[in-house]
Amino acid sequence: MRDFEYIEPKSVSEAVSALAKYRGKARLIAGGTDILITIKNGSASPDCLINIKTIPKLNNISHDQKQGFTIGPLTTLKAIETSPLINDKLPILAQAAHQIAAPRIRSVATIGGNLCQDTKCLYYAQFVQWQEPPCYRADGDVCYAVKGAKRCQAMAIADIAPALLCLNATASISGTKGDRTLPFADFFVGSGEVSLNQDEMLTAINIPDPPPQTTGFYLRHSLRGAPEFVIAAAAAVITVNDSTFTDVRIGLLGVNRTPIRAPEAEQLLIGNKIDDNLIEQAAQAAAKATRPLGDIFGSAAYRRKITPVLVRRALKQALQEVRK
Amino acid sequence: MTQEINLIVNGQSYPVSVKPNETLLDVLRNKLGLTGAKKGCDVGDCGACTVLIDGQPATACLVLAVSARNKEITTVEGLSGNGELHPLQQAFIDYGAIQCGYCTPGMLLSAKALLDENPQPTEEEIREYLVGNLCRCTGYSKIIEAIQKAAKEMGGN
Repeated sequence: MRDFEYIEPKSVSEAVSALAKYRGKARLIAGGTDILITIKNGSASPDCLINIKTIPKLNNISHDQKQGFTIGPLTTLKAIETSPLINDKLPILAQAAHQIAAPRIRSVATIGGNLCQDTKCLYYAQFVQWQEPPCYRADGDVCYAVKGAKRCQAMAIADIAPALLCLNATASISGTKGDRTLPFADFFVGSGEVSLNQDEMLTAINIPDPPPQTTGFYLRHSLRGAPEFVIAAAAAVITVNDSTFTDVRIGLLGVNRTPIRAPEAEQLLIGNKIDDNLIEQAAQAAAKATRPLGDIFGSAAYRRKITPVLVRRALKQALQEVRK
Repeated sequence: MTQEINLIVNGQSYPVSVKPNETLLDVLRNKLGLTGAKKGCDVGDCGACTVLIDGQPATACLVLAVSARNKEITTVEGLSGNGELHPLQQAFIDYGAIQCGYCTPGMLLSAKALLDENPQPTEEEIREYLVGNLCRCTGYSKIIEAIQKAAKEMGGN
């Protein structure tokens, strides 16, 4: 691996100052399960790694009546998967975390890292020597996945993201110029690209209390199960009252550049009686929100075709959860 | 920039000089002579480098050695004690769960972590927990069987 400087900050302000000082040449390392792979294959070449796992108080899960839930960005996927609080109140997050990779990854990988992960497009995520000339994501000017593309075409595949979109979660962000909050709907820009300035880091994931009678289901589709990167996934969060959908939020992954909601599908269901035909119509409508790209894991046509299947199953599973 | 750190492996403290860019896997194998953890892919895909850190399975090729200082690391060498093999190791031998042996240390440590958490897992749970450990030889069946048998023996049935 290339040589790099290594810093262990004791506070967020120390970390963001280091980011600012290195002007884009420093990267954060938490679990290390994404950044170290990109360094090893040469697609990332930071001069400095900033180990944020040494910053205290960024890895807990808490709840209060006013704020709702606050999850620190260093909370491991394993902690989320096994948290009694999350399993009780936000089970869709535990489901999403549980379906990522394998125990040897989840024990160290963090929720912040999952959200900020680099692109997994195989034309990029391979040894950089095999990319000649470099692609858009590697600061070049070509896309090998889509001939003639004018910019990176890779899709973001953070498994935690669709549930956060459905739960109206917001990101707390800190930088050298101060703190800010951003809805996760605006957090993802593209694959491996999030709305963080060079000198900023995620400091919390905030989730408002879902209304009573709300539950959800996350359905992840990949070729051979967990360790494979996702082809497409659907998250459904529903609020049910007396056989009626009082609220429906559908999140989709792997079918557009960023994780998205499916508003047309949602609107078909909200305020209406729970009915199989209507669910099927909504599932088909969800395909309208997709603008998938093809890659080695699945063609665009396949992703568009599998979307209604995943949405229908996620809605039905969510309904089963409500009835428990 | 070399740092002097302490790695605590299998209960023993090893003072060692490391550069920030050295992985735990490389330090275990090349500096501590603990070659049980294998370098199968070096990019976190195969699980042959699985070790336990504070009892949890971790991918040693994706851990910077410097960040693992002062944590309790367990390698396959730490499974046996007092000249006796761990029940998992014995079961792997008894039930034909080893062919080339390359995936075996990682499998054993993942299995140990599983049984520590869930002493009587179902077959499904075993398969799911071991999803990060690849084997090219055995087709997994005997590995699963060995773990089930070891779990029974360790559960004192």
